Parts: sequence; C-alpha cells; structure tokens
Amino acid sequence: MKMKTLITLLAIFSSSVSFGQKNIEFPSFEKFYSNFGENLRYPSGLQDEWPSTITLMKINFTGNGDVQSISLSDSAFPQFVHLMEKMKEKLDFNSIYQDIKAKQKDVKQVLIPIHIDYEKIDVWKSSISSEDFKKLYVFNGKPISGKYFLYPNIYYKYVAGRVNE
Amino acid sequence: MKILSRKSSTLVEYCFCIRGLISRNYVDKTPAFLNFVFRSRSSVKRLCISPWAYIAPGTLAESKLAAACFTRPAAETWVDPVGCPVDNDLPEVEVPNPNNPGTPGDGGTNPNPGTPGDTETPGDTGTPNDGSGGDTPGDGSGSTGGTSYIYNLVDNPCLSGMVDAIVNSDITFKANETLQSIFGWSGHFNIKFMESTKLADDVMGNAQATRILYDADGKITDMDVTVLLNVKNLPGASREYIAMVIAHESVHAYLNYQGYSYNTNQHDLMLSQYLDVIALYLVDNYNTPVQDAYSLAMGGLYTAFQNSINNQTWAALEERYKNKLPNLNDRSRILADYETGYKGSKCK
Repeated sequence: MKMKTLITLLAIFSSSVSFGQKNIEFPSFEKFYSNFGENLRYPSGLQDEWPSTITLMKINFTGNGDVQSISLSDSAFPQFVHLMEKMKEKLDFNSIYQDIKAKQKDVKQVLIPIHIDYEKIDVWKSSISSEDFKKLYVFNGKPISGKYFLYPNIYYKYVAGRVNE
Repeated sequence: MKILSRKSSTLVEYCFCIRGLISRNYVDKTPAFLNFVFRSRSSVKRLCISPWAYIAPGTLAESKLAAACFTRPAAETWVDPVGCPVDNDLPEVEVPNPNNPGTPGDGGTNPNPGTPGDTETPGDTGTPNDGSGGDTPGDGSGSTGGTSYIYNLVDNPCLSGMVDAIVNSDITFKANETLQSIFGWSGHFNIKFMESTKLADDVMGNAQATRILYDADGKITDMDVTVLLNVKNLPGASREYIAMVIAHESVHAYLNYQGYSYNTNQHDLMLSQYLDVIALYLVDNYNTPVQDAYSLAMGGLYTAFQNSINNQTWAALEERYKNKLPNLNDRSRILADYETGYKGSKCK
C-alpha cells in the first residue's frame, strides 16, 4: 500500500478516535459500542502480556445485510482474534449495515477500527508499537485494497484495579 | 417470551421452568434472586432454578415473576435442582421484559491519576462459575461475559447466606445508589462474591475491580468487581461482623464504580463519608446497638488517614460522631467480641 494512502487512512482513524460512544451520523453505533464493552473480557493470554490492541475489523456483508465474513487485520493478537470469534455472536452487525446503507447504498465491506489500551494500576500501562501500525491495514499478509466504508472506531481503556482490603 | 413456572406455597421457594424466546436482559439476574443463567434468545430454552433459591419480597424480580407462579405441585414432581419437572401441562404466561431497569447512566466521576499501591493478578471475571472457591477471581479466558450481575459464588453456607441476605436487603450508598441499583440489573456493572482460603489471617476480605472500561472520554462504562471473603476465619464470627465485612467490601466496589480506582486511599474516603452507610446498615438490619455498629464499621479502617491524618481531621470526625463512636479501647474490645462471636448472633 502506498504511503500516501496509509497516511490518509491513519488520519481518518485518528480523527475518529474522539468519537466516544455517541454518534449522530451512525445511530446504531452507540448500541454496538455498548454491547462490545459489555462482552469484552481481555483473554488471559493478553492479560499476562499486557499489550494494547489496535486492529481493524473487516466485515463483508451480502446484498441483504447478512454477515458473510468477519476478519481482523494482522495487528490483532491471536487471543484477541479468538475472543472476537466468540463475541461476534453477541454483536448486532445488521444494524451497522443499516447505518451504512443509509449513507452509501452499494457498500459491502466495512472497517471498524478497534483500539484497546490495557492498564494494570501501579504495574503496567500498555502501548502501541510501530509494528502494530505496520500490520494495521494488512489482512493475511496482504495490504487492504478495494472499496470500504470506515465505521466509527471502538476505543476502550481496559483497567485492572488494585486489591482493596 | 413465554414462561412456565411452578411456585411453592410460600414466598421463599420457587422453581421456574422457562421456555421460549426470552430477551436475555430479563431472566439472568443475580443468583441471589434466580439461580440460573440464561444465555441465548436464538432458540427455545428450558431452564430451572434450584428449589431453595428464592426471590426477595418486593424486588422487581418478584413483581415480574409472581404473576407467572403457580401452586406448588407434589414434591416429587419438582424438587429437582437440575432438571425441570414435566411441565407440558402448565399454562404459558407472557412475561414482559423490564428493559434492563436500574442501569446506571454513567460511571460517575472519574478522579483518575495514579500512585502506587497494592495489586494482585487481575484475573478477569468471566463466567460466574470460573474460579469458584479459588483465591483469584478466575481468569475469564474464553468468556465473553455480558450477562452477569451480582453473583454469590460462596460455598460456605454461613457466608453464602450472609451474602444473600445483604444482597437482598440491599445497601444504600447514597440516594438512589444501592448495591442492587448499580450491580443488580445491568450487565455492564457486575460484582462477584467468592470465598478464599488464601487470605492472610488478619484479612477478612478484599475487593478488586478486575475490569474497568473507560471510553474515549474517560467515563467508566463497564466494571467487574470480585469480592473475596476469608472462609477460614469469618464463619466463626458473628453475623454482624460478617455483615460489616461484606458491607465494607461492597463500599470498595462502589468507590471503584465512583471512579476512585487510582490514587485515592479508599479507606480515607470510607472513614470520612461512608462510615454511616456501614454502621446504619447494621443498626437497621441487625438491631445492632449504635456504638457497637460504629465500632464495627471502624473495623478495617485503622489505616485510614495514615498519611494524611492530623489532629484536626480526627477531631472533626470525633465531633461528627460524638457519642456514637466509643474510644479506641472500647472500639477494639467491641470489635473483638463480634469477631470471636462472643457478641452478636451466630452465623449458621
């Protein structure tokens, strides 16, 4: 992927980080975001290593809004991919499709940026490495290409608190 | 959504069998109310709670389900904690979805910043069954959670009963904010009570927010709290003492919900703002004499203001509580009397 395109995509992503959970343009986003958080439990493997997660979720829809496939870009840790496999059953992708269809009729592929920072209070604060960014737009070793719709991003800071006696 | 159920002749014994399309928000409430977990709305379900589970009178769970209850059938047809009785002949009753009542609107204030303190392995709260009886809150791996609320995973009958009692009677932290209103109805804020054999002898319990989610605006959106109770020591104590420990740990959970997870010494806050919450809970629910209740509530707070206490602060507290708070010697004696079970009611 050309650097110019990558920078553009990163700019779009970083500008969308400030969305929070409400989004007037995408009415279904708030519910999707809330549902995502409710079901998010960082897998034990990731808790041991304490990394941040930054990845793109790519959703392919059929013409009638059914989910054809869901994949994560190569920057996602295998444990996170596994977690998403389980979580996807509990997420309402169809409403996302309706959101997008209202804006752009022929879009069948959607990207949802996901960024999760992990912190264990007094012990560890995760960060994103440059390697993560390199893989952010790569799926199965291949840079992303084609026509996509970039949905608002999901950001959470995932914190493990202290033990209080 | 349809519900088939049977009910005992008293308010304290129920057995529910549920089938049909049920919104996941409805049934999987705290096991203090209903001892089953409901996972999916995508297919026909048929579930049952153990016959000794009960629904607290006056709770939402009761008001929604009471209409769906029936006269208790012959014991042999329903006293089965695992399977449901044959219920094909039971009438079907429509139960409305309460739409997740009591969901806290926001995570409260978020004081943030951080300074050192003690931390153990976070151990995420996964499904309610993981790590039960252990000393870490379970690893949560593979669990996508999402439908847990208040879990009583304590095996010891005495402690388990005390947790149930406290959850059912509820603790009011401040106006419109109670244990149940925060943790009881929303899948976003969950609390799990467990027992531990590995806590130090002088540690009766602890509370840890194993998972706090902040959104991009720094607002708390989700939280899992695990409360560990010392099963080696607590069962020998009086009910009042155990109730104090559970209330104390619940206040920790609440303070995390309030956003005091970082540099704030929660015991300082507890001493200055929540002593009444614990003491009055004991007075109201156990008829504990006021001075005893405040002495108990002070238990575990001896380190409060360790860094910031000064004579003025302490003088202000003494002025506020006046005759409610005995002197240190008397407090210590009262606390020990309840801890050993010499005073108060026995835990069974």
